[in-house]
Amino acid sequence: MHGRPRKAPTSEEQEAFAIKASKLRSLQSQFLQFHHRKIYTKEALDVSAKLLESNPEYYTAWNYRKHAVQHNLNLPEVENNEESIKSILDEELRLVENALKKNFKSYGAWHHRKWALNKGHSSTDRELLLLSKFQKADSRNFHAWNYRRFVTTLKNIPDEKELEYTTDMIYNNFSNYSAWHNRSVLLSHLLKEKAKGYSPKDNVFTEEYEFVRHALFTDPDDQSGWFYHMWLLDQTVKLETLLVSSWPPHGCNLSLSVDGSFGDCSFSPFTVLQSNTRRLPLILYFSEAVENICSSTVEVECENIVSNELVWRPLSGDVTGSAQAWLTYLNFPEEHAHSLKAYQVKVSLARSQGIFSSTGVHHGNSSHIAFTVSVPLYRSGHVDLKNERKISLSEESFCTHDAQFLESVLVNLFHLERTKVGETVVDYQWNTMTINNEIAHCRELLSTMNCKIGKLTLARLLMAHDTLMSYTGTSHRNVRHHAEILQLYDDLKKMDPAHLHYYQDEYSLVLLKQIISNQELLLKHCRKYKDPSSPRINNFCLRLNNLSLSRIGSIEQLLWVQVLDLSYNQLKTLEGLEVMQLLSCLNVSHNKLSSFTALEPLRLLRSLKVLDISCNEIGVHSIDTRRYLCSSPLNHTSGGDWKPEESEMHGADYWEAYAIFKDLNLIQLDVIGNTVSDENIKSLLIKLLPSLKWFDGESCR
Amino acid sequence: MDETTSYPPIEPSNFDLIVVGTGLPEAILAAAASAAGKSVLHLDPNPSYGTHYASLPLNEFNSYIESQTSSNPPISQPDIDSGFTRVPLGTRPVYSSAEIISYSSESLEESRKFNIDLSGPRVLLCADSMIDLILKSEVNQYMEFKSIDGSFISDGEGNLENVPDSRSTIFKDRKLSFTEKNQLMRFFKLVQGHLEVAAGGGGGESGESKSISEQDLESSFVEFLSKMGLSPKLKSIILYAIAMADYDQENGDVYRSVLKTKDGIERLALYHSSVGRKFLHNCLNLTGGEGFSAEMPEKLKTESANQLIGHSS
Repeated sequence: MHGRPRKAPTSEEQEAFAIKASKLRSLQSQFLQFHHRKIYTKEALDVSAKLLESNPEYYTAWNYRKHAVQHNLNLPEVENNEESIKSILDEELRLVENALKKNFKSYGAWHHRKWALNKGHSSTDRELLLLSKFQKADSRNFHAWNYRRFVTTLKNIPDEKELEYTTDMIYNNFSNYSAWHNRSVLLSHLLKEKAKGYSPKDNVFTEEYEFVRHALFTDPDDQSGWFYHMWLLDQTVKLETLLVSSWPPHGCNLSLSVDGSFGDCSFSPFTVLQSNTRRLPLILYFSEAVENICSSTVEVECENIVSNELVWRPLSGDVTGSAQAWLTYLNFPEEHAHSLKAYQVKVSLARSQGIFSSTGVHHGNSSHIAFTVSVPLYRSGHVDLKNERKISLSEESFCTHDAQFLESVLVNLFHLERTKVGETVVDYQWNTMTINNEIAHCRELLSTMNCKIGKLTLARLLMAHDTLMSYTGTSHRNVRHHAEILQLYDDLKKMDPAHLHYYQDEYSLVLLKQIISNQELLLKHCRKYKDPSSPRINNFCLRLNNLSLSRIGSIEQLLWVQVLDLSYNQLKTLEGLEVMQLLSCLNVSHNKLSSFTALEPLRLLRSLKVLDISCNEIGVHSIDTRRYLCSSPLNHTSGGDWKPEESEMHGADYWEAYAIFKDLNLIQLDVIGNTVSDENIKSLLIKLLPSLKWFDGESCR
Repeated sequence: MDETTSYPPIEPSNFDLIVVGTGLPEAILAAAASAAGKSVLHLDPNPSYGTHYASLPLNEFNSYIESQTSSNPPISQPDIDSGFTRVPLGTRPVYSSAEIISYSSESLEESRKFNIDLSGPRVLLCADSMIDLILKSEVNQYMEFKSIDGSFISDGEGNLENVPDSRSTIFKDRKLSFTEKNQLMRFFKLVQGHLEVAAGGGGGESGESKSISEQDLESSFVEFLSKMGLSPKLKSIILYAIAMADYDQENGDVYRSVLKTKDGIERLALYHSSVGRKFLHNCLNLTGGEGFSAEMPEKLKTESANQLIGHSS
């Protein structure tokens, strides 16, 4: 059924098609007449049957059949007459069978059969026989497999027996995605119910790994087994949800600078935070998206702060309300008379206290974070920004000499990272052993041959291994496999250019992980801002420029970053940056951002002051295909108050610019070097951003 | 043929061809000549038909063996001027220096119920051109065919193991190591690629890289298998259970019988196309009767419903 080349029809065939088409057309118009006049006589039914037998794809006709059945079942002579009811429905089953003979991949036909059987008047004995015929004709026909699951539920066939059936089918020909898939469905079910012989789950999975390994080694180029392997891997690394990191970090001793009074050149992002509003963002970052973070699931203990008045917000554009990162603000009152008041803050998340992940796994650990915040005496008057100088993030604005200072900052970071926020309560011994075992087998396979999906799997296994290690807290930096994973993705980029972008994305994520988990490497990417006279920005800058990054990751380790340089990369999206709530200065110039929509994550960054999006591709593409992939003004969650009559501006670019920038408080913005950049957009942006002082390097007020 | 007097005279008395012996080759010869419009007389000096292809009841089998070991009387040379051309068909005795030992003092009661193939069952691959010949000459009417249900190879320690000869049998096999599975399947794919290139005229760059070099094709098959890094176990599976080499290929005392790579590959291709054939259903096993050879032959041919080399995706 697969891999057969299509042949061009001969002229005779074309002629036959034409005759068939005209016959169908006349049948169809006849049918539509009956349909519109709601005629359900035998004659009318025969016409629809004839039509469906030659064209099972005609949904309207299936729908008509359903109306007809309903109508006829309600006839007085049929009602309560089991015989007549049965014969009406059996006629439908017969019709479906004939239609399937014509096209066994007709959705409408399969669905109609389910509908008729669900009426509960027909025998289901024939169904398995019918299925075996279809599965013989094409063992991978997913319609048949889908229907099989329906029938087995209807007939109460035990999952164990169905599992045996998938085994037989796989033995027959293991290149069968549908069979492997059904296996995963059945096993999930059996494991969930802890069926006899399917517990503990570790043993079951160990056997499954072994089973699929036979397929992987026999024919590594066949991907169906690898897909099943991927499912197994997912099951193996599906761990309980953990609190991964937070801002401020555990054990941190932070000073809130209200007016830049700590503005000497040596402050580090871990000791001082600039805040004109006397409020401190508190961010919790989880290992996966979670729901239900609120004052009843998270307890914050701090003098003068009432825990259950805190409002927690998900940091994502996701409408489902789940997010990996959650934000609340701690407000420190002004009336305190002390010159510098130190507050002890303690945040507690109790185990399984109503926090759910999107996959349904409960929040696993009880976690506690404790830190100290020093808040200065109230002082009137904000920093006068009138004489602010333009901030330049070009190469010459940074110095690298002060390594000692940088190191002192980073020591702080790594120290904090090692302080576990929660105690691990689950034993991951089996998971670790299994991953190690699979890594060994994968290496063995790859030692003799080049196999794309094998390499990809090895890369994923190594990544899973590192993640597992960091979960179990047995992470030793020297066992991390970053370099090897990067090499694998590099190879894959060359071997399989069709999926270049995917590999590039994965490469970027691993590269960032590598940089951030290694102090020496990270140090190379940190700079000090030369100009100490500008109190607006923290002078500690993370420069991740020129790394060919196509995606941003490891955000959980970057919550402290205030000045970030991502210029000269391959970024098409800024997804993930929404979590970096302290960000005040961002350079994403010379990337591949292709629309204002791509900037959407920035909408959540209320402290962002300086933004450089120059030399991107905004406006190059008239249609932004990403719009359908991520949240955007078009999904009606934002931008609804757009009033185009305010100006003469039309078009999606302006609308998007409006939606993105209206809530930002930028002082400095660079847009030059984008296709969209012109006088119109300039005047719109200046109007939208009342605090803006510098536009494209020039003073604009 | 001294006893001609006891037979009725044969009419007509002139033939284009007289074939002596009723074994498979003789029968095909006779049929071919007849099909070509020649008149043929088909004779057999033995009391039963079939020559070496006969199946005999136990008691006749004994006397057959005795007759084989006794020296054959020389056949009288026909007159040189009688206009005959005599073509001796080389027949070798099936058995030599046979000795009959009976462990039972009285003759077996049921001995007529057993038939013994004189030289064991013949195994033919159904894609073999021999099958076409048999069908065309209609000799198949006098033969019985049986498809082979299983194929085993001895592991040298008295255990019989299934022959992994296709993608699904390799997958199912639980005796091979994972690496061996990978090696064996890759070797099959290599052969398949080579055959495809050969069939398609061998054009194109990818064709070049897929085909096996001329030098390798001329070298011995066993050497080629070693060069491909196959384990001894895999080598014997390929050599004896699939390519069905007749002689020991590795301890090459008999140099003339060592398979060349190209012959080995031809045999694999034949094997492959045979198990794929649905209508004749696998291999044909030629026997003259219902009996089965008393001893398990070293290697039996296989049945497999699947193709040797499957198509992925």
